[in-house]
Amino acid sequence: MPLRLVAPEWSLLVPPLIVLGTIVLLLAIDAVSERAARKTALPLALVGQLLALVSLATVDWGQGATTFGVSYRADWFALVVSLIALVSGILSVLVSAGYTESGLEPGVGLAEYLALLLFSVFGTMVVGAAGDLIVLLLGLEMSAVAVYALTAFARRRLTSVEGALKYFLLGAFASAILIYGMAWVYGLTGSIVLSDIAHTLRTVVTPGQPLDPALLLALLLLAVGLGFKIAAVPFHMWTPDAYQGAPTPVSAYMSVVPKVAGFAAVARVLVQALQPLSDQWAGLLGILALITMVYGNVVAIAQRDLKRMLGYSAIGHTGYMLAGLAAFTNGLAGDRSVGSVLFYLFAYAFMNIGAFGVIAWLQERGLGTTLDDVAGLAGRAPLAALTMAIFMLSLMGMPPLLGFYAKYYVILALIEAGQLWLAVAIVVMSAVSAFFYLRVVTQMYFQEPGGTWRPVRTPLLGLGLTLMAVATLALGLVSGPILELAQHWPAALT
Amino acid sequence: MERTVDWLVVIPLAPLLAAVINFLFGKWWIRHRAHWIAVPAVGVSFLTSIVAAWTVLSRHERLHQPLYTWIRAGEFHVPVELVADQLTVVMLLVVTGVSFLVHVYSIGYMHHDPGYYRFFAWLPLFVFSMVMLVLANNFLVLFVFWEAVGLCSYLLIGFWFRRRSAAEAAKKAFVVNRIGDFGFALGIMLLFTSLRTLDYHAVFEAIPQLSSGTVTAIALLLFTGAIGKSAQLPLFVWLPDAMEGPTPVSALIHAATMVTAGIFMVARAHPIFLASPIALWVVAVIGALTAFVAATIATTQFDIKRVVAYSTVSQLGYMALALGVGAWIPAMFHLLTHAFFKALLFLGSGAVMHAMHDELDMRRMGGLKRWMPLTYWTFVIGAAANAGIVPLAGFWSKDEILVGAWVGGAPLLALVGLVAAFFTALYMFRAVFLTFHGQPRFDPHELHPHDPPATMAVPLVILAIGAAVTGFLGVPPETGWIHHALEPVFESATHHKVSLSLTLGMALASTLVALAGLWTAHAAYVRGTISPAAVAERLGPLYRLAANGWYFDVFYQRSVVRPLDAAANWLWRTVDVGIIDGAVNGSARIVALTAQMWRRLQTGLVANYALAIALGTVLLVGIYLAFGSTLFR
Repeated sequence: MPLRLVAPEWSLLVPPLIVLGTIVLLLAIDAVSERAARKTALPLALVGQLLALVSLATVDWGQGATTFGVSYRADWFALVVSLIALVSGILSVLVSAGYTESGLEPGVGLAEYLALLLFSVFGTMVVGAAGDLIVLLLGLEMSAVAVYALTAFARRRLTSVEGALKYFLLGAFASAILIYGMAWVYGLTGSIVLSDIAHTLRTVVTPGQPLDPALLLALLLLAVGLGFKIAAVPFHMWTPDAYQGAPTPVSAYMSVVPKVAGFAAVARVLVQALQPLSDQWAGLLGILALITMVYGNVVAIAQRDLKRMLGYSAIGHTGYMLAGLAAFTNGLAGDRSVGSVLFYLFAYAFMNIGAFGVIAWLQERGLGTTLDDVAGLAGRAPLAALTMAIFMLSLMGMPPLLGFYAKYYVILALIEAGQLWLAVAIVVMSAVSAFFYLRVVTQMYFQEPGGTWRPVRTPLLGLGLTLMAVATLALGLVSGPILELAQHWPAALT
Repeated sequence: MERTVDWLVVIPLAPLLAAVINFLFGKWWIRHRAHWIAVPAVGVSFLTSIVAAWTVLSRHERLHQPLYTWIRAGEFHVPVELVADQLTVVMLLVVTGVSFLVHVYSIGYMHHDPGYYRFFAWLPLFVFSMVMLVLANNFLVLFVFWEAVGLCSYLLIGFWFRRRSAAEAAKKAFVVNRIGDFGFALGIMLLFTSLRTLDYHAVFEAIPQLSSGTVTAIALLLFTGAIGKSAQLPLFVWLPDAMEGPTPVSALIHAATMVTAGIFMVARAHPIFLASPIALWVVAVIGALTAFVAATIATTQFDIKRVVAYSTVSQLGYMALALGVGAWIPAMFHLLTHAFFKALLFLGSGAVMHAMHDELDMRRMGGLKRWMPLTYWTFVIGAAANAGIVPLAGFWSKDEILVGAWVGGAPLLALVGLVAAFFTALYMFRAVFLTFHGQPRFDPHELHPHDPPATMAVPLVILAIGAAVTGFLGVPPETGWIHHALEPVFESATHHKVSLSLTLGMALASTLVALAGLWTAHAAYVRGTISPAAVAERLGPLYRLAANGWYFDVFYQRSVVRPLDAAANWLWRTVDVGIIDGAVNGSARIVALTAQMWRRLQTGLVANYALAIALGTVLLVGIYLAFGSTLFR
């Protein structure tokens, strides 16, 4: 068969291409003049992502158009994932800005740093728009590998390098399992295109019957590989070490965007390609969700290091999101499962990057990252303490903050799917999580301050924190449009 | 006839704005200039009320202004609308007019208080709430502002919250009112469940559909609210204690306006009460008893403000009696005249207090007439009006109530009212004589009593004129101006024919009774022909009964407060600390232990982590292949 070259539909590719262009520009300026790069890198990264964000409006996502054959899908799901990735990217750049503003880690190549960060955002956008397994894997790895490098960015600090190495080794291990699972799927169905796989499976699987072992093995291998990406228990071991070791802005970033990529991949693979097996994987996800949320929230109680505590809390939130996916009911009317998870990711981006951002803010003022370091913060920096309190309460799920609505929609999805036990588990675990989130608040408000305080100015970080705090306060009340966008997913995935 | 206007909202809006501005900016910026915000605002409200009253009364049409829809839930639909009919505008005039004078008076009275701005934030807030209460067009909005005036009352009684007695009095007022409000709320709910609407008009139209039992229950529950708010037996105990608040507050809230909310509410809801003779009978009996009991207590008090306070309770009792016997217009008439003379009496005692450096005990006053002539004469006018001396305001309205009770089929209650009138004259002039006549029982060289400054004196004079002449609004009896004004509201009520001889006879009787009281007071406290101590000795238990407020407070303390206190203590120490805290702490400890155990799993070694992934994979794959596939089938 002669090879036929078809020009891709460029107009569909505008948002990721803008990000890619920004990366190229960043690296080019850095190669030419390091001094110029120092000055222009931050604004460039911000403007580039903002432009990409605006350019999302130029594509008609409702069509579900594809290009590169069917490898790239510009559908509703891709839009929401790109939106979350870009918003998180912008917020992370703002948080990172503080790190360089205060000159805390000298010798950091700012342009490289931002280029890596944008690579990861780009990868995540690709996962969201992936139409086949190869593109999906490409996006996922692009998103992850960039973060491995970012984790090690404080290269003179041992914990940074250690966390990165662990993350990388285990990530490679998990990727191998994932690719192995993909190979099984290809072998069984003869296709790597997500929609074709679903089509083929529909013809061979009868609901309610036990499954062919080979197919089940493929499903489980995929689930394990993806479970690592989203840090579900028992594939979570890398998270606390990596979160604690990485430079704090990187922790902020990697607690959100790789998780977005991971959940996008889970949705693309399980919901779209393996939908006929939903009886099997929905139950599996439900169990994983329960284990994950219990483990994450309980162990977080024992942590005194805030970054580590947030690492475990991130595991707990993964559990809530998995529970949202477990509410999947074949995309029938009233199925809110994937939509609720997308909204959760959106909400999570603001409050979690915000929480890490406050820690970064403190580090720049010469404080450490343990609970003792935030003691008496309210007296010293009332606004920072208030901001942190907002994020903590939101992560806990306090109405009317954004985090409450995120949990609320997941619980709603579960109740409509009849999975009451998971809904109850989320509520109980939220109560448990109150312990360690509120402990931060009591430390800030009811303890005497200690340690030294180095006053520095970090306007961009301050702007970022303000944005996130305001969003956490206000977006919950006006969550309608975003939620509606997220609830378009059945058009894309089923 | 109804006319929609768009300026009615000014009446509540102006004081609300003043309250908000003073509350937000008062502490740092406005401070001692706060009255420049509050006084003009209430003035605007008053002027607008006059316009509203003129429009309504001259054209005989109701004013109406829809504001917005507050609740829309299925068939439960609550619009917030302002409605002004004849009854409303009379109340509006009383509320905003007296409020305005009290605001002016407060400029002088509160002059040196550090909480000046706070005072001028709460006071207009009260005016706003009261005006909204009066303008409401459904029971829910009425209830909301009923609670709001309760809140303002709480804030203002406890205005000097650092003083323990003030804080306690505020709490007492709030709690006692809550008991009444509980019944009130139940009544509104019962109304809604039986009629599916709370709109005044719709409710009154639909009343005939209800069974007499339901109507009686609704009416009695609504009246429970009035018992609390208007300080009727047996919930009147909060009002005398409320005198802990600044005196202008006593004048405004606890005499002239808020406490009349209960009377107003019953008058507003008169179609409900008319449908239930039993409820009306209860209202009348409670009113008469309140009038009598409070009057006897007032006779034995030595604190000048408490005398006036019990007198308020007694007069409210007269109003309730009037409502109960169907004398709706005399009730509102008495409300109007009472507002003037009671505000006057309070402001007058405030002036005395001011001059005597916060002395309230009449046993340490005396002879003030020579230093404070203006205060004396205005106070005497107020006292005479209260006592029902011809031709001052109180005479006309009280007389009509007694006539109403007589022809309304309750001659016995009319007699109780007459007896109470004797005590009224007695305690009122006892206060006058003890305070202003005789020799000073304090050191005039140390205290220099003097008449108050202009901001306080002018309201006194205006109120004194009001107390003297407002009675003529109801002259001639049964056909005066007030009767024509309010006639349209109470169309549905039955009218008893009153003969001229009865009117004259009752007028003569009540005048004689009042003069008898005056003569007794004169004999006891000026001429000294009767020794009060000897009388008290002779009456023994009866005197002690009255002096201790008929032991209501003692009874509540023993039968309600202390048992509740003990129960709360038990719940706290045994149930809460022992059981609930124990359970919470126990489960917290278990979780913390688990967390410490699981934490050990995180060894930090990559090999262990990889092993966990591998083990997890094997476990998952094993379980699923075994149970979920055809492998072992």
